[in-house]
Amino acid sequence: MSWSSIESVLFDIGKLVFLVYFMLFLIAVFSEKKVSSAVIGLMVLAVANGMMTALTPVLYELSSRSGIGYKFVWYGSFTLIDCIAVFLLYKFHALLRQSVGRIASLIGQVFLLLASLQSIRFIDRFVIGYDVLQPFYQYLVPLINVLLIPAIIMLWLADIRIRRAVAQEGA
Amino acid sequence: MTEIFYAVLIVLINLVAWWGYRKLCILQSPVQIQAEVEAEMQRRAHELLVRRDKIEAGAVKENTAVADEQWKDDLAMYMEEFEVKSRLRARKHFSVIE
Repeated sequence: MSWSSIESVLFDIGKLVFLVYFMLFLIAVFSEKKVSSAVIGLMVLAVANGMMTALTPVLYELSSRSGIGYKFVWYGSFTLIDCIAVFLLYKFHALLRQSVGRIASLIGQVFLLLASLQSIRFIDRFVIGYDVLQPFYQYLVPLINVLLIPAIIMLWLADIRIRRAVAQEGA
Repeated sequence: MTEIFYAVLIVLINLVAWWGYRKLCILQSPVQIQAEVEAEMQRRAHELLVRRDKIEAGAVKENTAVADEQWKDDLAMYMEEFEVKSRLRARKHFSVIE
């Protein structure tokens, strides 16, 4: 089964988004002086997104076979990865005794939203059989992933500004 | 029927994700983290007291000496950790940014 052009474009965007997430994570590792909530959030984001990007072709191949089990593999795997990502966020913050910052909180919300979208889409398509959410699902998931990048950068810059202001006050 | 099974399964995974997110939200306030650390230390202190009580009351029949030694080791570890945590608390209290 070959990919249609739109699916190939979306997959390419997905790979690009993963690279940007990974770059953001690297910048966070080198710019933050110690473990922070932002570093944890970006690490989990890069790992989870990388996993999804790597698995996409295999899952696509599997889900193109007939049988609801194969269809579930696609939606269920992404939901599971989103779920694991939320738990990794929680676990790392708890283990490293970090309070959850705005970036990690946003990343958690996005994973939750994506997991919900996968579930709703699966039920819409295979259980109820309406199939009305196809365009929403096809474009909303990549759109959320792309929009997350400027949102993270904005929150990060705002945090840096606050930290500088506090440091100046303290000096 | 199979569809319902898969629908329930995916909703369950989703609910677990929601639960994880709720746990994540709890960690949003630094005060909560502090409270969790305190609660953990208190739990360990309580457990140590219960073990001491059992040893002294003769509830531990076999290897009493080993159990006593183990208890002393655990107490030393607890006290060391307690001191480290108090130092961290003091440092946090005097620093401007965490």
